[in-house]
Amino acid sequence: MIIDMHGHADEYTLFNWVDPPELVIDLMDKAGIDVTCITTYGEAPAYPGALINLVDYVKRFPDRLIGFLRVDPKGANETLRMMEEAKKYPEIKGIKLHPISNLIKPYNPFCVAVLKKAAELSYPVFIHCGDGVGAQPWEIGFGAKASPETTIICHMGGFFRNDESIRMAKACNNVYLDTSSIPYPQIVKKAIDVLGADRVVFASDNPAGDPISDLLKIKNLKLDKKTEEKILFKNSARILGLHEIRGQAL
Amino acid sequence: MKIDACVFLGDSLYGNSIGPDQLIGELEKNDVDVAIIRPFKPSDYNYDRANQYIANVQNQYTNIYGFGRVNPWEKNAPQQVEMIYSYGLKGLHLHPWEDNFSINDPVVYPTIRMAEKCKLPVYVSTGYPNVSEPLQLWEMAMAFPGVTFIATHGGQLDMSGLSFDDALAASERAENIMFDLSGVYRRDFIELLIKTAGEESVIFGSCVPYMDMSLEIERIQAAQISEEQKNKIFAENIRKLISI
Repeated sequence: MIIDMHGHADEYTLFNWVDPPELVIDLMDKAGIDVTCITTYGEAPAYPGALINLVDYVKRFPDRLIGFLRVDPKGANETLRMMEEAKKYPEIKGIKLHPISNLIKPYNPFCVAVLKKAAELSYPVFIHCGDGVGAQPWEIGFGAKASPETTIICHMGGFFRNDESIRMAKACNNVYLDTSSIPYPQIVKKAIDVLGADRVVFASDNPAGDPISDLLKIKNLKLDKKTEEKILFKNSARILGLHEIRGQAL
Repeated sequence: MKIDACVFLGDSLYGNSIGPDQLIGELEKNDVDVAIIRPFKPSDYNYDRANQYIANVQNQYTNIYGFGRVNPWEKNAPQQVEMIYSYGLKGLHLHPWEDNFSINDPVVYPTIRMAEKCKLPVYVSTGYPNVSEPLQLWEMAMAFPGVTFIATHGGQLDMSGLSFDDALAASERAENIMFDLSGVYRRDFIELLIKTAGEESVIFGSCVPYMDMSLEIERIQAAQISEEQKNKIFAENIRKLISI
């Protein structure tokens, strides 16, 4: 059983970012991944596809895809309204924030309002985390501390800020780290050692990332079975409130 | 056939030293036939000594070739490049991040001029903020069209993807830049780079021990490209460049 906590599907023709859900499913099948949490490239509320496309994609593959609504905190009250609107769709189970894309730092009051609204709606929030200003580990950490009731999942700090992301997550109990978007297996191991096996989740950034090699990044660590299961699906299932995957009880 | 074009070997200031035995173990484990090594930044800061060590290793193993390394800030850097040539090493490696220079700074010109005179390709640790971003390397490549530069990391280290376009733009505008794929975890960028730079201009380099050799291989294997293209990337392109 494998849950991929982070992938993308969208047909955002304005920027020629066209990755239909079929491509995501094809790569999932090749890697043996059961479920992937997907988000669009465009952001609500300005981009209608953020909600419409997302719901459509998940409806096409209801036992394989889970939607994370990508939002721009600059939309202020309209963003919060869209999050409430999303709650009407069971296909959507989380929120995605990409501060490099929308230029709103995670501790900015607009973003903290999104984090708090997500907690109110029982949505976990996936935040892009790397080297660039706007999405650096402690910028996310300050947001996490401003809304401790929100469950946050983020990358392990890109190419240069890996240890910093682990220290930040250690200091913020509401932050989980995902395994995608870094080329360093030893950092994944370090995160598990420092944070514990309950705070790390598998992700691949499919289809930008390659799910097969991202899975190999975990398998090559030769973790004990209990730890590997937590990373590959049990932690994500708990965060998402899943009790079964593809008809199989967890 | 697989040739790993980018491995660091020897004594490291940064505490991640590895020796030939460890490298040979990695090569066997990952079914890699040949490695091209270069020094770390050594703990005594003496690149000439480190280059001699690399030359000795090259002489001891039939499947290991070496590049030398210099710090362009050193006044005798061009002479050190000449020594690299005299040691029989196959190229020059520059690391702007570790040696605190911008790759397009004129202070680097005498070093590159000597590399050109010695017909040594120049491997550059690329993608580091403010010192070796894609268009900085492009500017240097345009200043020395007779030198072949090889950029690590596909020319960029930007996990947000904002530098991808710059790396692709550099590849379109400079015929004398090749790219290794170390640390490029984005499947889509690997395929775009091969398409834009050309299949003759992309090579396999793992950047061991900073990166993981098995994952670096797996990502290329997973790319949606032909077997012929993979053969070029894994071996043929670098083999042709340094005539091994």
